[in-house]
Amino acid sequence: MSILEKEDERQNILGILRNTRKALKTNDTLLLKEMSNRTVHGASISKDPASISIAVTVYALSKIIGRRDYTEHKEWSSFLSKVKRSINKAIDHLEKKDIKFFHEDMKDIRKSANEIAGRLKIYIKDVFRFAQINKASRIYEHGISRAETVRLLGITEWELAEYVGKTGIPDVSLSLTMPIKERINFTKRLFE
Amino acid sequence: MKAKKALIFDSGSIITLALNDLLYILEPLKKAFGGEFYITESVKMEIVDRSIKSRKFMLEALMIKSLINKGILTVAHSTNTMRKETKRILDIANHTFNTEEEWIRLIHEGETSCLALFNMVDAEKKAIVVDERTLRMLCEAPQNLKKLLEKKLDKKIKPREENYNFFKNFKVIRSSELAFIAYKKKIISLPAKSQDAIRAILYATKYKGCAISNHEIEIAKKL
Repeated sequence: MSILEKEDERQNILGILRNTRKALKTNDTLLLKEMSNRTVHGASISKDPASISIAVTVYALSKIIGRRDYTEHKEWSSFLSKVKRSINKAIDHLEKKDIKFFHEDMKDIRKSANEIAGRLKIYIKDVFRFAQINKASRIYEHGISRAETVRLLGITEWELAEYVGKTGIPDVSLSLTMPIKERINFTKRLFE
Repeated sequence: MKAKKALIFDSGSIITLALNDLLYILEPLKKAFGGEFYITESVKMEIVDRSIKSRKFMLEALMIKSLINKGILTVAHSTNTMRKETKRILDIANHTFNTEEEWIRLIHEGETSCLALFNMVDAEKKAIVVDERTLRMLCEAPQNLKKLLEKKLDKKIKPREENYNFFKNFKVIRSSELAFIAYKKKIISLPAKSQDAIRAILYATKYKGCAISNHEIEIAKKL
């Protein structure tokens, strides 16, 4: 069962999308990041494609909107209009509980990048890829294994390994499960 | 499957070594170990078959393939028994923590196949080489994993504590400990004092995804 079939989850996602629409109008990158983080908890538990797709899309938008140099590209306004149109449609379809079309609208946001030309297309595609890796790292941080996270986000373990290596995830005290001296001694005994 | 000794590598541990250009340590380490270095088909699929198609990691994938071709890494082929054991362990792992609404799907088939192989290998000495944190926590400190899930998800977690015992039999090491041993056995040679060399090696594994803390590294350099 999709989480969108639960009324409280549907309302939560509607709230996120309405705030996303508002943030896009006012270029509010902080609000976009906050909305993206709100979906990570849900995505970690439910592994629902809708939560994951929203977390990635909203985070990517926060990065894209934050780059003033992107707005100088001639394709920028066309891209932004398409994104806004797809978000409006997604809100509309979710309000009507039309889940199938809602998923199509979410895909269309990402496809908006494919429909533009020039370097902006490459930049935006890179941002979406980076957003996938960033959200994967957040889900891994929540206690879900790396391979499971990679499966959910459609990235590779190589990409996630490089990314999580730069985070403080292993330094969290709960991550320490055995004194290193003990583990090294165990390894030495394996080699005896 | 019989071996005098066995190390079973999860994908992450091989990835850490490959990204640090340390795959070369596996051949001399295997000689020093005197046993088998296994990977499962599922792990091979992730780090070789799928990665060969990616431009960014194709070289690393080919270098791992070369280790397989040379017989340094042995692929444990998936049998019916192994598939059943993987499914059984996956089922236990993913029915260990409940949010009161649903079970949390913690781990994936790839990692689980390493646990299944660990159970199926008849060896005097054996361990799984796992760099990622969740599986290690599940095996060694499931109570910590419960606390982490509660903290991060901001939800009360109800564990099936009888499952904790099932996982405590799995022995886990990381690529960082293997690299440490490789240094001590002079397989890795660096123009630095021992403490600095160990720090350099262990931080390199950490920055390429091995879940080892700064504090652990600072202790290890003195060992």
